[in-house]
Amino acid sequence: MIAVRSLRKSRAGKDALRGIDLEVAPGSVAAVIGSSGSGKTTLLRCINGLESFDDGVIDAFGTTLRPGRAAGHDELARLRRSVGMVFQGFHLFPHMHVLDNLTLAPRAVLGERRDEAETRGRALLERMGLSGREKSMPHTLSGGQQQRVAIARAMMMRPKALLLDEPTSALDPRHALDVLAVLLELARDGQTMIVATHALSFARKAAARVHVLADGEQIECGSPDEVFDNPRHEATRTILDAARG
Amino acid sequence: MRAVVRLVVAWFVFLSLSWVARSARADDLDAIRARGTLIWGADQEGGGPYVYPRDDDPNVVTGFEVELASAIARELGVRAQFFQGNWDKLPDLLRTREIDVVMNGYELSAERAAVMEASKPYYVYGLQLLVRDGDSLDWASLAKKKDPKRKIGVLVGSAADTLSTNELGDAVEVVRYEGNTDCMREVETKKLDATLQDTPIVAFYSPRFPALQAVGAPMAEGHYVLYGRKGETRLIAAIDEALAHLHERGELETLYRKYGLWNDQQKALDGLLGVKSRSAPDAPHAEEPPPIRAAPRKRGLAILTEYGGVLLQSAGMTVLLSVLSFPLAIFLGLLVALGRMYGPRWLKPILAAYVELLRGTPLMLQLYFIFFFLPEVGLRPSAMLTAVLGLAINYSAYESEIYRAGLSAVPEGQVEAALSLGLSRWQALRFVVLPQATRVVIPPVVNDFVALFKDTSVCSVITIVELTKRYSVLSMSTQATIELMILTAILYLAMSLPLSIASRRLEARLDPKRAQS
Ligand SMILES: Nc1ncnc2c1ncn2[C@@H]1O[C@H](COP(=O)(O)OP(=O)(O)O)[C@@H](O)[C@H]1O
Ligand SMILES: [Mg+2]
Repeated sequence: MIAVRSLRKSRAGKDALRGIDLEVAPGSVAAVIGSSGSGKTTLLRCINGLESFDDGVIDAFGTTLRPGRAAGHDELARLRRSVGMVFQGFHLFPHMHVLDNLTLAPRAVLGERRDEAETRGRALLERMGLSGREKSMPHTLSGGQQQRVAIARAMMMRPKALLLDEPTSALDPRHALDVLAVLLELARDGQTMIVATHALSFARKAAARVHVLADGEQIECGSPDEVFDNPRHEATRTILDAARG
Repeated sequence: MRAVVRLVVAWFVFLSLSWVARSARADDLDAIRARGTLIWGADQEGGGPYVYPRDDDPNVVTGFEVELASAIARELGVRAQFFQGNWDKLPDLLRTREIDVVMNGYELSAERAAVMEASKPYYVYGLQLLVRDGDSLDWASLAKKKDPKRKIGVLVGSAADTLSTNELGDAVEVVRYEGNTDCMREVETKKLDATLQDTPIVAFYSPRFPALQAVGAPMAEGHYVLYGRKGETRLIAAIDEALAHLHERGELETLYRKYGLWNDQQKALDGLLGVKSRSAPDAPHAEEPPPIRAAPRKRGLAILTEYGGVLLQSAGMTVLLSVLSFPLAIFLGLLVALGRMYGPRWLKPILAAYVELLRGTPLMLQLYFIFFFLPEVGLRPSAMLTAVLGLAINYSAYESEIYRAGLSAVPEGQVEAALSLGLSRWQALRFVVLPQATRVVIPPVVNDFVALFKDTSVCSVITIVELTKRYSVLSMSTQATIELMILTAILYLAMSLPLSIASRRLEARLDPKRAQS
């Protein structure tokens, strides 16, 4: 379970996050929506320990992050083993083929044998609809394929929760659908996730709760039906309209 | 990885061996006797008739000083061992105990005698003015001002340099050269009007430069002496005694006649050495063989067949210096780059200073420093070790900058992706950042390797004979400058071209946009 309490962070004199509360039960999905610059990426990076914060507490599967200096190496390693992250820009390792991208961390961090890791990697790629691309270099893949490799790479560490930062925003609609299909399947299988997204239909289908951010503030939070059908806040309506296009 | 470790280990073994090999050397007369060799320093690039490469085997030196050194050593009951050093750096080699004595046409002077122990003279030389055949120039006419100024060539730092500067300084332009024969050739080709040379050189090279003529009598008579370290009076006394014996038995005269160097001036040796030569001073030497002179100038393909082999050997030294120093430079450079980017705060300015110091001062100065200064504080790395270390340290500064650029070229997102997968900072560096940085740095690094190949030539200042030094020596002794130049250039190209080609291939192979396995 991931719990974020009154998270505050200022950046270059500006408040990027001003008191975020968020709780994700195991096996459920939380969607975070908000216009560009509202703080979605910052929130996810804080939960992954990539950024320090000024106030509040983050609790993730027994690891507690507190304000101030970055947490210790061991603590961060433990945290990141339970919480995987998929970046908006994929960040695949360009010098390795797909299978090596998947097996690097299990081998280096978990000490898994190459053949074991590769067997799991192949299975995961098949599940993602990427059979046959094991030995492809990242730059030869489409954006949608790259994003699915990035998801598979994070999944290889068997994270208890997965953080996804706008997994479809860099993709054209067709490729976006492929990725969302994969994410829906993961959600059905009970994968805990926090997804920053504009894909409302996906959020409605997958998310237990939707958090709406505006200017670093959580202006609304509820079930998809509550938030999407009965937004209490004017700003939420604007965000939804923008997302619906 | 294991191969790398093995290489590094082998490297350190080599270093420590060469350190040990070096530690026992050069002391006083007892040490010479115990060792069984008298190590004497000279520069074969200076040329004939003193010390020069033999025509039939350029790896071996010959000359009247080579024979004199053997004779002196024999008198001391030891063998003579030649040590190559740049002419003007011979006193430094003496000071750092690299050699026991200097003997290379060094004249007796108050300045030198103040810092070194001088022997009695072994030869009386004079300075001879040489001009083009047919020119009606002499010392007196040179002293008269003319517009534009006439040019006279001298060996830099020699007695000829001093005399010309003092007596003609205003009237002519004194052009200083590193080699004697360079001056003579420049007179022949009319770039100079005259040159002032020691009499032995004039005698030896007269067949090489038929277009030159000697005008007037030799001037400013002086004495060639051996120099030992200051305070080594026992050694110098033993050498003086040896010289006296050799002179007394007429061996000096025989030696000087062999090289066509015997003349009336040498009669002064009786008084200088305090013994009378046994050979009749004016006895005719009718059936004596013609004196050894500079061989006629060779040209064309003969140079290739005759000197190709030696040059190739010296190219081997160039390769050795490069392949020993560059891996170390890369390793050091990587450490410096990592230290500057990820190291503790206090380390960064130190490393920055390291880089700036090494990039901002000439490599030659750095080599001098290691070679001539360290012995003063009791550390005596061998020439080879000094060269390898000096090159490696110098290049590590450049490599670290390349690595810094390479490391910065890897996007921060790559590190974050690795960290978010649970990799440690070190693992992220090793598996994600370094491999990508390496790809970026390969072309500039290989570029530097080629540059290092060429920079090894600087090592001649610390007594190492590599390709460029060998070229200078041979070109000085044969005057086949153009042929040797071409040959040397071809050898350098033969070393650097394959590297450039290999680099381009490697770059292509490492390029993820093309790699498709
Ligand atoms: N590297 C950064 N340095 C300074 N400010 C940043 C940086 N990244 C984001 N910000 C600021 O932090 C706020 C939140 O940004 P972000 O979390 O990226 O929002 P979102 O992901 O919702 O678009 C914005 O005001 C943005 O300008
Ligand atoms: Mg964002």
